Amino acid sequence: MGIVMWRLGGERFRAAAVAWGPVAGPFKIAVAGEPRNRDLYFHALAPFATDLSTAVRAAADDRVARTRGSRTDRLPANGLQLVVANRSTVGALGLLGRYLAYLSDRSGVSPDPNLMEAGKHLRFYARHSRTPGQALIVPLDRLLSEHWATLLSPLEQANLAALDAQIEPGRGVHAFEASAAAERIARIGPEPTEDIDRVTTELVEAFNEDRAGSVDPAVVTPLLEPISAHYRALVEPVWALIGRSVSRERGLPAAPSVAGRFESDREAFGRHVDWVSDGGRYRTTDTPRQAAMTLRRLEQARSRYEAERAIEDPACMVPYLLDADAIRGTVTNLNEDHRTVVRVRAVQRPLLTLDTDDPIVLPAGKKLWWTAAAHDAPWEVVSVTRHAAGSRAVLMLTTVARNDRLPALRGRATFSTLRTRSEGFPLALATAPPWTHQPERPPAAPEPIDAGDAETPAAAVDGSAVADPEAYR
Amino acid sequence: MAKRSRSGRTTSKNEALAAVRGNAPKASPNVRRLAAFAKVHSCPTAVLAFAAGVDSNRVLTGTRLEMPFGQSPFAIGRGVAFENLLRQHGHAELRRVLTEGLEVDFALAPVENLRQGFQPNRTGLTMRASVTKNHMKEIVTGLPRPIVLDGAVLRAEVGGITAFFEADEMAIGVGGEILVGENKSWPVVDGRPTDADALGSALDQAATYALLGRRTLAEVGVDPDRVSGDVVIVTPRNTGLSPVLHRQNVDGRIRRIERLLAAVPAVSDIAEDLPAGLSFDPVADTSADDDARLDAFAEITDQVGNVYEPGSCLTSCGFAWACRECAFGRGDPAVAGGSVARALPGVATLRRVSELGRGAPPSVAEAPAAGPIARAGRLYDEAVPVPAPRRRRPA
Amino acid sequence: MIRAGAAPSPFDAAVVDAAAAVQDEIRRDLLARVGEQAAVVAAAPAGAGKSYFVVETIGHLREQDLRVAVVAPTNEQVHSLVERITSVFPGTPVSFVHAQGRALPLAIAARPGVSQPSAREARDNRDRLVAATIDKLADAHLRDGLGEFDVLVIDEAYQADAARYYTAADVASTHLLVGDSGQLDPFSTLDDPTFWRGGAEDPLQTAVGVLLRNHPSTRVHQLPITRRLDPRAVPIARSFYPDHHFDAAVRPGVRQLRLDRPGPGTRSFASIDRALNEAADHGWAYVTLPGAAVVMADPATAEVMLNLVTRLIARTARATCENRRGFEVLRARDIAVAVSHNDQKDLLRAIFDDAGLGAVTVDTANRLQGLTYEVVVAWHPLAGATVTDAFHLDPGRLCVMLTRHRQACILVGRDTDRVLLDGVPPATPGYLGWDPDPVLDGWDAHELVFELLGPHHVTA
Repeated sequence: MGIVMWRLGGERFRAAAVAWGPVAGPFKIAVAGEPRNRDLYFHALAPFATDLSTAVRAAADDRVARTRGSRTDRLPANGLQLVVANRSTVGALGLLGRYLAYLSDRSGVSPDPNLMEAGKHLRFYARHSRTPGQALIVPLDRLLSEHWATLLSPLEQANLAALDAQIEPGRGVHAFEASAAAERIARIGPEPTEDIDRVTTELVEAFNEDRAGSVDPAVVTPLLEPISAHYRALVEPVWALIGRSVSRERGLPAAPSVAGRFESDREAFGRHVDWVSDGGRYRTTDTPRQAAMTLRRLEQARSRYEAERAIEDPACMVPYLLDADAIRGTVTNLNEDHRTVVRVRAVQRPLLTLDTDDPIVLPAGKKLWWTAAAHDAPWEVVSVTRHAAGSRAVLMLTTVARNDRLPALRGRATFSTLRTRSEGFPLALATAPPWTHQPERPPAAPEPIDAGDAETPAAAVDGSAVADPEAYR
Repeated sequence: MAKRSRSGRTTSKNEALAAVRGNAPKASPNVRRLAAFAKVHSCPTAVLAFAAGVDSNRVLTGTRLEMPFGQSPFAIGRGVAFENLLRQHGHAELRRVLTEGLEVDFALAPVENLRQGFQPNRTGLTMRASVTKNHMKEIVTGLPRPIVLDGAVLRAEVGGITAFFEADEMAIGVGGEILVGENKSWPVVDGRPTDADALGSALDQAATYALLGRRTLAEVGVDPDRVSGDVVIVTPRNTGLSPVLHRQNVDGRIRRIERLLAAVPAVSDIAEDLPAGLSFDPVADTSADDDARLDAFAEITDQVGNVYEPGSCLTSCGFAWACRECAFGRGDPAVAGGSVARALPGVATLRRVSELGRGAPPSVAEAPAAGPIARAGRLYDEAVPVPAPRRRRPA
Repeated sequence: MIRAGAAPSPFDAAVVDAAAAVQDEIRRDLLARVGEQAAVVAAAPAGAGKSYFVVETIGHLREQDLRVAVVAPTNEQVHSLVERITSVFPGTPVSFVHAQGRALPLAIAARPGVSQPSAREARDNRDRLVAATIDKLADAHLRDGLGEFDVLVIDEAYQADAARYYTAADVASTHLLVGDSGQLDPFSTLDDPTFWRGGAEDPLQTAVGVLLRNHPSTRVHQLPITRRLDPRAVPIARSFYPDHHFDAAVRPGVRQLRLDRPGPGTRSFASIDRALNEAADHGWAYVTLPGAAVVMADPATAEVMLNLVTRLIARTARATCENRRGFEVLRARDIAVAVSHNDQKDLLRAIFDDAGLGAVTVDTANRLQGLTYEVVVAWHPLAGATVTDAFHLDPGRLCVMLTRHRQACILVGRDTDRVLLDGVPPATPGYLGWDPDPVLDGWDAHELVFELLGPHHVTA
């Protein structure tokens, strides 16, 4: 599902427009008119919330069994993947989720449970986006930056249109000129520019005047048309850009490790949906235990993702070769039957000689993994000597020979410090925090997130009407 | 005699800088411009524009290299409304947050609004600065209760130009100290600002006021440390505009701003070395065509020099797109960012990077980087074979 | 027996006594709190003799027959503690509980009193003194119920993070945290390690940090002594401990480094020899090459560093100190070369090995933490840099490089490095509830160090 959001300028919790739908297909759009009015806002967001929750639950319903050892889990066969234009949109959806999931009652009336459920889902997606290698929510600026080499600096890479233009500039146009032109024209959101919101200001003011305080859909809906048209026109190019980027990426083969990482995503997705369906609630901030567990989980995901990328894509291995975290060369000798003594017994430990193209420096005893067996046991460096233009390294496998553990004689092989099976054991975290991690004074109860909804929306003020508009940035 | 000739020379220096500015849009120093200047202070063109009071954000208006700039009226309106909210009903909300946040009772504290009753020009600012200074002096006498100044003004010499800096609030007499405060209308949610870098900017701004406050006290012979190294940031919490106060220490930032102010070159130093006829005037001339204006800008950067680094320039200077285009035209590796450029010392163009990557012999200057580049080229060629370049250069 | 004409003590009695007084105070404080949920923090500058203090304190606790668990972040650190315990208190029973494949080196394991029980055995026997890594003790506590100690002693508490501390904190209600605040902070590979920064739940704050955050009244004692560094090194070391006063235990003149005269035919090494003379005379030398556009692993800088070590050995460097009678020739393994980056390390390792100097330690600051050498040659973190950034300004890195040595430390850089600090420090993000600013602190420390190195400057 693709999602495009345009916020009301400066309003972190107010989506002036949300568009959603299947990535290649038509989008639906939710426009509140005056998103700072709670009734109008909720009424407009309801179809989005419903569609999102329905799609999430449908994806989570279809389960498959996965057995690991003695344990069988039921994971969703697929997860609902959200595709957005940039990381800012992920953050914006996260804030929207933070808001919707914790809405408080107004004069005894509970908020729409649909909205609250959608809020929980959005918040889950935003938090899950921190996991390296995850693909449940895909900000395309990150996807394209990670998979394409361009001359854009990191800051410029946050602009999807510029990235897209660099990748496919069009016939006869230089990539640089194409991306500079794209930056000038493209408006991607979620934060609107001055000229966009100058139009919005007029439309919203007219809208508010015409509805004269009414929130009755019968009155309001016909009045929304100009604002809807305004946002539809802003969404369409972004939607097309998302569609184009996704279809281009789909044309490229997925790496073998994608399935494994997405399995972790599906697992997290399934757990989340189960939690929400069972009426579970989430804390607004992490406990020390949750933070520690998240830290460990993210670190492990990161090292796994980095290893998988470099191992599967030779271009991604180059930086490791340059940093001497990996070596590459030709296998000039392979002694499968080599034996060594380990604790009074002679055991089989294959010995391999690798002639590298470039000189290398490695201490004896350093452990390296052959990239084709990065999930398996490492090789240990026995010796490194100068040889021709490069070096000659002798490596010893730290386990017995087996066909899938041995590179071919006279073939090329890469060995690196990257491994795909996670090391280290899980942190032993007791559920109750120790006294050291408990504050002396319990923290104050958090304020409700939506306390400010009752306020009258501030009047828009054009930059030309103020002496120093930058003072308000 | 000496006095007259000295003042005569100063005037001609100011005239020289006025000539540099011409009719280009003006901008006098304030906290935000100072912060932007910090990011580009090693670029001679940016320095010249800053010292000459040129608004780099607006000079290229109307050309194809004009950078988007400006904020949504809703965002500005929110900021205005937040300020008004703090001031309503005798500054009720301001008093409330100060009381809660500083644990000192501000309910009956006198709050003087210096934004009202003064002319909105330099004269008014000068007077507000004077009023602020007089109130600050009272810290030594020991006040029965704190005084709050809304819109305190601090005067500073920035590169020889007198500039006025407006602090959102200044609380005088909190535990014997003066605390400065800055209001921002972005919210804090679950104890974190929604904009991570925005908090750093806000703290830098408040630190600027604290530094200038200390200098003001020093001018009148009061211990400058009576201005606290803690500052106050007032933001809304969650949705709506209901304010909450955050108190942070900014001693390090104060030291940083001090160095920043010292890095602004004196008017006199620049004026002396200026090539004759150099001016932003033709660059800002909206009646001229794009090419003429951009050529005039290139004239300036050629004569004075410039330093392009995307991460710093694109977020702080309105000339960044123009400089980027020039950098691209030269094939400068800087277009890819500072970290890329730093990995290629001595290699002047991207074309050379490409050639060195194919094993071309390096010049003396290129020698340090040539080895790693050639190696990288070989490794990438093995990993991702690409067709040879279409054009072959003679050896 | 008092010998007539016996030499005066090499130690400054005032400094040593002051340190002893603080150590006594720490122990009094700690013993008074046994049984309570309370902690005591001992902040020690580099080379304070922290591990010795930890071991002695354990001795005091054991005298009271208290059950003690002592932990540190890494295996090497714990091995070293066990070794120390058996040296200072030979025969005292100490149980080393370890993860699979992490047993003690045979020499230590063989000492009387040392055992390596499983967690369950240690629990069932109610072993009185248990040593382990933080991770292993936490695992043993949660899974096997090893706990109910009277005191938990954590060494290197400023290098342990709050997440680890959480896991082990419940093994005892009373804690002693000992560490060096000047060295490198806990590190994470996360893309966004500052996600939780400022919050009480931040798992990446230091163990001391989370303790003080939740229990601000916890007393932090400062050891006012360094035993590794001599009086000439202290002023520069103090740059990294702004609010912590300390002095050298040894008197001036106790540590001496002597070199043969350069001799004929060594004119090409004139500046290297000048630098070595400066280092021998003053304990510091700062060698700079002319500014140039260079890659990080710059061969010219590496060559200067190789020449410094080669000449040091060629001129038969010999040292005396409070532990020696007379001068002893410096061995290659008494020398360390400190760098910031792995590619600098790899380059140096290759040229040092080629020159037959394989016994000289070459490593990054991260891996040199806690170690001691006679002479250190350090690759200045800002050498050849054109801009400053958080990594290179990190005061912890520079602190480690400049506080490993007992005799002399020689820094190598370029003459344009110092000029970088004439500019403006980079802008930094802010975090609510978290005041420290490592970039700005690093800037200040670097500036101070450049200033203090000024008198020892030699151009290459």
